[in-house]
Amino acid sequence: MNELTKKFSRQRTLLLMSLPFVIHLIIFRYIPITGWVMAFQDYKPARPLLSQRWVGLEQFRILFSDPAFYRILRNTLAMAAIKLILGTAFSVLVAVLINETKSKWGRKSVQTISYLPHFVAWVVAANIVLNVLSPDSGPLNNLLMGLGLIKEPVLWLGEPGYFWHIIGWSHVWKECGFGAIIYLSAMTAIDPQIYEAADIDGARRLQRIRYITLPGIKATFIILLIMNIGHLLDAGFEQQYLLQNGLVQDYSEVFTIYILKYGMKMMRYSYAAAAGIFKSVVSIILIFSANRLAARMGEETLI
Amino acid sequence: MKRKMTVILMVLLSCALAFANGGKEEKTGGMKSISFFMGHPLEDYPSGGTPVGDYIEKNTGVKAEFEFLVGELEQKVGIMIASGDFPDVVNGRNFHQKFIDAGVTIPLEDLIDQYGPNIKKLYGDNLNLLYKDDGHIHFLPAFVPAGKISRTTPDQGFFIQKRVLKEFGYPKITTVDEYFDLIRRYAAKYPEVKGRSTVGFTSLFYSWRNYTVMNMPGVVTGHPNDGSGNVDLVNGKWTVSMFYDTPEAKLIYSKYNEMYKDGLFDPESFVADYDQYQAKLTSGRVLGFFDQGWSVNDVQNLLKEENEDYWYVCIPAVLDGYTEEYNGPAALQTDQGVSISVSCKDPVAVIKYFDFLCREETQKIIGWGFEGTDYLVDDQGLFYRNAEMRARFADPDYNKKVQGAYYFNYMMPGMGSTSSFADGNVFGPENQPSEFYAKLKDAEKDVLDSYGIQTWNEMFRAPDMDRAIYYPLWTGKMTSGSAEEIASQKVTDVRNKYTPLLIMADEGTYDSVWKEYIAELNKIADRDLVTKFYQDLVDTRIAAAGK
Repeated sequence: MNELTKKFSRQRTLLLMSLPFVIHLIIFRYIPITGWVMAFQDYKPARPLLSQRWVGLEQFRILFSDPAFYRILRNTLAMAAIKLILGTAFSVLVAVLINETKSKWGRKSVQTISYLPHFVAWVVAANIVLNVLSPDSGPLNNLLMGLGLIKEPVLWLGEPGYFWHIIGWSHVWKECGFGAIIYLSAMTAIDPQIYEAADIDGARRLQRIRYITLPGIKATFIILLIMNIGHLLDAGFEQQYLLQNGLVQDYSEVFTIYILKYGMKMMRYSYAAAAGIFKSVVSIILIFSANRLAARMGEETLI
Repeated sequence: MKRKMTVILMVLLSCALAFANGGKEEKTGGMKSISFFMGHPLEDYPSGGTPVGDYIEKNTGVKAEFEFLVGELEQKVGIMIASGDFPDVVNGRNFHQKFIDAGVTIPLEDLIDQYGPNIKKLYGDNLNLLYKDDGHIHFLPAFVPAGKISRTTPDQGFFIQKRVLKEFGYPKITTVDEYFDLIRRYAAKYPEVKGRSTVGFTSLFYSWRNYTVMNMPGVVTGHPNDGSGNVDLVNGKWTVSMFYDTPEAKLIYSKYNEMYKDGLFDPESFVADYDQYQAKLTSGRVLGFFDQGWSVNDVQNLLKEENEDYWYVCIPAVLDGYTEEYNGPAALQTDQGVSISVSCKDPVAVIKYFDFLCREETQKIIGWGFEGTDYLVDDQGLFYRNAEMRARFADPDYNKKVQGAYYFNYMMPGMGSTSSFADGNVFGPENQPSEFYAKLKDAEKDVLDSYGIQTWNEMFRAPDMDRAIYYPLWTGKMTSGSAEEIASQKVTDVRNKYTPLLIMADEGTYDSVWKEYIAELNKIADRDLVTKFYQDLVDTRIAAAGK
């Protein structure tokens, strides 16, 4: 028996346990990839995949020659980056604050309240955002007018320059509490003795956060960052779709909306598949580069 | 213990299933059954039967087994086609063309000829419109226009709050200028309502509901709801033109722009969704808006319950120098209907069933119910209901859950609600003028009386029946993914961006925004394909009608 088979038989139970998930992955993640051949065809429904007309790279040519494509790429990357940076920063901040709260009641209630919006579907959440930002006595306009900062109500959602802000900050509101949970659990894994030792050495609260808590969650932080970078081309769909309007469409349309509008809705499945392939390839490149970068910096890596 | 329980439960469950199946067979014993797929999410047909359904069952010896839509229609139709297994009858609503393209439907014309005398009588010349390119009739649409067309409420128009009309003594309004002027004067006089600011005029830009703004250049120049463009008689030929880049479009949006600059056009229009729009209308603060009647039915009903002054009257305002034509002729839905599928074993039975439905007597029962219990007949032969009957039918669910008539009208071959029987009675009780008037609230009667009319529709002109041979454009479906569909989507994108910008334009900048808008439109190389598509559609329909 060589080394490998021995190792296998030793971890038999573990391997068996993971088997269903591997099968699930193969069925739902790998087999559908065969549908990619569509991107090289002029696919019409109700006909077998192999008796379709082949068009080579025509779909990609159409995609890359659409002037809207580059605008949409910009919007997608920009909004995803904004969401990633703001979302991560605020999740860590909330986690640190909750971690530093001594009263158990305070921790629990802050945590529950902050992650509750995560469970609200965007359809509902978008309505809340619309109402908060309403120029017709919405709370935000009322507040700013009450403070004397603005004279007239602002049409927040109608101004292209504000749209990315609205996407970023509504994402923070909805997701930072939930994102904090993972960081919080990483913090509980930090050995309390380190904190005690720091106390004895006279470390103050901010110093404890700076030198113990943050380095303690660094590994989690990096792994999550790598995973999220892979999703940079998924800037979301419902959020933009539900909050957009004609006035801001040059800044609100993301990849998924474009695929829906010019692909799926027109039954141009091949076109949608081509756009999907582009997205996947870029995502794979991004995730590998992030991973390489992390490895080079001597950090935890994903792959 | 737990395992035992599970086993017992499973045994019980399978027994239940077996018995359920057994029961079904027994019930249909001696009776034919026809299976339907209806592409519409509806509750299951009442299991205890209904008066209308039982009547049809008893007289045809056929039990209808309905399957209604669960989930998304487009997907469901795709899956059905891929599986190759169909119920006897399919109706794929706005995706019905996919069934035809996939060869799921069988030709009906010979069957109708042989077994459908009542179908022929009801559809009349309309049957000619149903021949597709391959020379066959593939489906029978519902809501057939037949007999005298009687409407009590208009399709669409400018809505104005009753208190505005009352304030100025119920003036007759014919132009957009007069309409906006009333709003201007009223808002100046009453800047607040119920402690909140008055909203002069609102619109809806949300998703496909933006027709409330986008269709304006067409309707204010005296065109019915073609939606996609204007159709005019030019040198004796119905000619299609696009209306979004015309001088009239520039004019009507400049009037909106004037309202905006005066603070009377609700800025929230540009960003609000349908819920917010309805909520705002229901608050009673809004003096006017443009919409199609069905879209604001709920709002109107609520307002009428609440306050006698806050609901809206629909009026036909157009630009100076044009004659209004808000109502289009009642037209057959030529894009969808019921088809017999290739899986059907006995197509003759199905056609005979449809023929029974199309019989005038059956249609009366579907439209009104049974004489004596659901309606009465006066000396002149006019149908009416008494207070008790009206109360029963006032519940919108009554015709579905109790009477069952809804299941044999919606999506089934039969008459439209504005169609009339040979004796002059209207199919839909809500469109029978005397019945309509009797059900009105006093506040509504006051307004009608002030204008000296009996129904809301009398404010509007009768539709131009010459249009009937092509109307309406919007039922024309572009081939998915075609060059014209892509061009049309691009035009929509540009309009979605620039129409709000035009309305919001600052003093003195309207012309430059308009120039920019036209420049953007001109960048869409093949937008003429859209016009050509609709022109071809009109030509084909006219040719079919001439058969």
